Amino acid sequence: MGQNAPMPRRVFLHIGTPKSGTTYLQERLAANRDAIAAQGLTYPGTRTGNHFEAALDLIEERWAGQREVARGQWPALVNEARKAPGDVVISHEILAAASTAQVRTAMSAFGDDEVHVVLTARDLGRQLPAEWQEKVKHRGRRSFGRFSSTVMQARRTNPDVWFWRVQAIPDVLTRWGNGLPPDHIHVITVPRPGEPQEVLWQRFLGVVGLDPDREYADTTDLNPSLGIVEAAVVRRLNKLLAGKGVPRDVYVDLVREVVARDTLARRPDQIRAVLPARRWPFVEQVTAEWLDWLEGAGVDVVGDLEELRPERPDYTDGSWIHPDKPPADLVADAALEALAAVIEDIAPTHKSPVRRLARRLIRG
Amino acid sequence: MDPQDEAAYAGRVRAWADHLRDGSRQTWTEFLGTPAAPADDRGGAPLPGAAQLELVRRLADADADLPRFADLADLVLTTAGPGRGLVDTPLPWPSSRAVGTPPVEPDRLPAEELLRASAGVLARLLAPEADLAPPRPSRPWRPWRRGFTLLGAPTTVELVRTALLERGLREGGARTTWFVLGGPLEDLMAQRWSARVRAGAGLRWQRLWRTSATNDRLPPGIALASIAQHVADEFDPSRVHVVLAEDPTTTLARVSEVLGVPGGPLEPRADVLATDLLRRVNPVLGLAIGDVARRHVVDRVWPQISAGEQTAPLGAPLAHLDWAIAAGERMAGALSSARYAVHGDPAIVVPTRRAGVRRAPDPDDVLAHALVVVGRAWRRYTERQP
Repeated sequence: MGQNAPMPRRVFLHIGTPKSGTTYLQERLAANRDAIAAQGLTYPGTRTGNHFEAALDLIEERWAGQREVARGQWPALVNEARKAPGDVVISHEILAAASTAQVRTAMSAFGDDEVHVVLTARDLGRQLPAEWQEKVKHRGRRSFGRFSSTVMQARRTNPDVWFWRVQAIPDVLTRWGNGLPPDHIHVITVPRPGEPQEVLWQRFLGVVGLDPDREYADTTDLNPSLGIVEAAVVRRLNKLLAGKGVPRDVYVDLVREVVARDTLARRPDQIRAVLPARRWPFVEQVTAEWLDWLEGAGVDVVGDLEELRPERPDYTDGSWIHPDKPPADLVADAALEALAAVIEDIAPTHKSPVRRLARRLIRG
Repeated sequence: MDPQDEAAYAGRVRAWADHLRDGSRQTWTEFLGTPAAPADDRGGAPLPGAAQLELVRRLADADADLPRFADLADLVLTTAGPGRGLVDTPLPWPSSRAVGTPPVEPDRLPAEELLRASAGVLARLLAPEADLAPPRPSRPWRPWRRGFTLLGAPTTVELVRTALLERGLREGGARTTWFVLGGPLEDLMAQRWSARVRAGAGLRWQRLWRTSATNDRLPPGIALASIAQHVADEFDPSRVHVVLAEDPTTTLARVSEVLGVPGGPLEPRADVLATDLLRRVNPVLGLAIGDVARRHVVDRVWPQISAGEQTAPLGAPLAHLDWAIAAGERMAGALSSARYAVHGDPAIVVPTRRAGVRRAPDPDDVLAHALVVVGRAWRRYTERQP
């Protein structure tokens, strides 16, 4: 027998999908950087701590002017990854949007390595409302009704429709899996609502080869979803602020972080956005096709494909509310809470623009 | 098994593989009855799987004249079966292990297992087709010719469209005549299924019906009454014609009559087995070469995948037959009371409770077809790579 060839380094590219627990996984990777490095897996650091800018640089999206800021960050991340002594994990959900040519660019950086593509996936019935409220948090003004009908009428391979570009599982994997052996493509299903997030973390650990029995630092979800009342507040705010010249950093600071993330998303007993009954046929049809595709593709499924099958809610008990028609009194309450939070946030600094600016700069 | 016995087993499996590479059609049991050759030590190289070995045997059985058969055998033996199925099925051996996957006679493996292996092999044989330039259809611009637009049953649309273009008519245009083509509902669903699979879906026949029945909605592309109504609302109802027929020749005759051109015979296309085979190959081929290339490849090789099929049309799965009849009756009712022209009897769309109809593709039939298609693909492959 000849000498054993050295094992190639493994590069795990966690490419999405958005709203499938990716922020939670990334935060957890960051919080356990040393613990996982001790096991031979590097989660490369960047100037912002996460891989958003690098992913944006690769997929060349404008992203409200952020593309210019992100220029050069993909090669920078690749350099960091190359310096790693062992295996590497790169993770950002917008990577799912990469075109075939961009995927080739990404893969060419790891030519000598054993590349694995990892996709966390959640059922389409939950993804549609989740993507809508995410859009609302990014200054979106479209109602849920308009958002969902636009998505459902579009061709699912249309690169101009962001939702399908990042959520159409067969299409995303076909772009990213181009030429990879199917067992190097891992689809991790997100557990059903009510199951602990730890289950998702454990599944992820299994894929990237980390010890599941070890203790890992926990984190809180930094990208929680909004209920229909809370989304209505932010959407109306977005409408009122449209065309008023509010700079992006002010919007991010006050609306997305103070109002949405730190105040509205923390409200108890939120009413989750649920698709209207007439939208289910579409969702179930698309899901059926995706499941057949996944079963036939031979990709590594971690979890249970049944978790991707949407559970049709009970519309007969009278509890369902159209996502665009939340009760007005609840919206008023939430809006006042948001206003109070903003006042509380700016109160310590409102007399000193310099201090306020300094505070924003410190926050990044 | 003790290590010595393990080595004897491995040696025998490899010897059978070599025998199959030479074109033998001997089953494993028959082979075990022959005298064993001296032990063959090839180190720790993994043993070929039972499905791959049996597929090689069946390919030799299906076509004894395949060129460079040993190369094809090597390709099959090194191609893992994609998707979910049995894992590492061992072959029967006198001292088999009591634990692990139970041994299976390769010639008794379920057809699904051999189809999984075939799908992987076909994906490897078809992938190089992506390097060939896609064919460019010629579209002469003839604005003075009469225009037509065909909607509805996808396969019939393709056949009739080709025939009309050959007669010098042009597609589309401002004064186009709209035709919504259809026939029996089960045939419409089969055509829809074929079109979706060729477009890349990995959809099963039963799943298509289950989804439609659960949602009480026909796939939009074959909801003839809705399509015709939509076109009639948008344009002039006098230029909308629904054409219902049981075969493409009658459809072409009725369309031609409206357009004032001669009809002619059209060969009906049977592609149930080809569709069920392609839906298994699609995800693997897509992952290997990307979706755009996959589409080009399928466009190019579909005639070879579907050639020679003689299968009878599929019926609606029994579990959904009641729904199919109700949906057919609704469609026939809507077509009967329409304000656009309907050629043919709307009653033909309604499924009937016929006996002896196959209501799902039979995996054994699909496998027999797959063996022929692999053989064809191998011939093409060897012609390009002498």
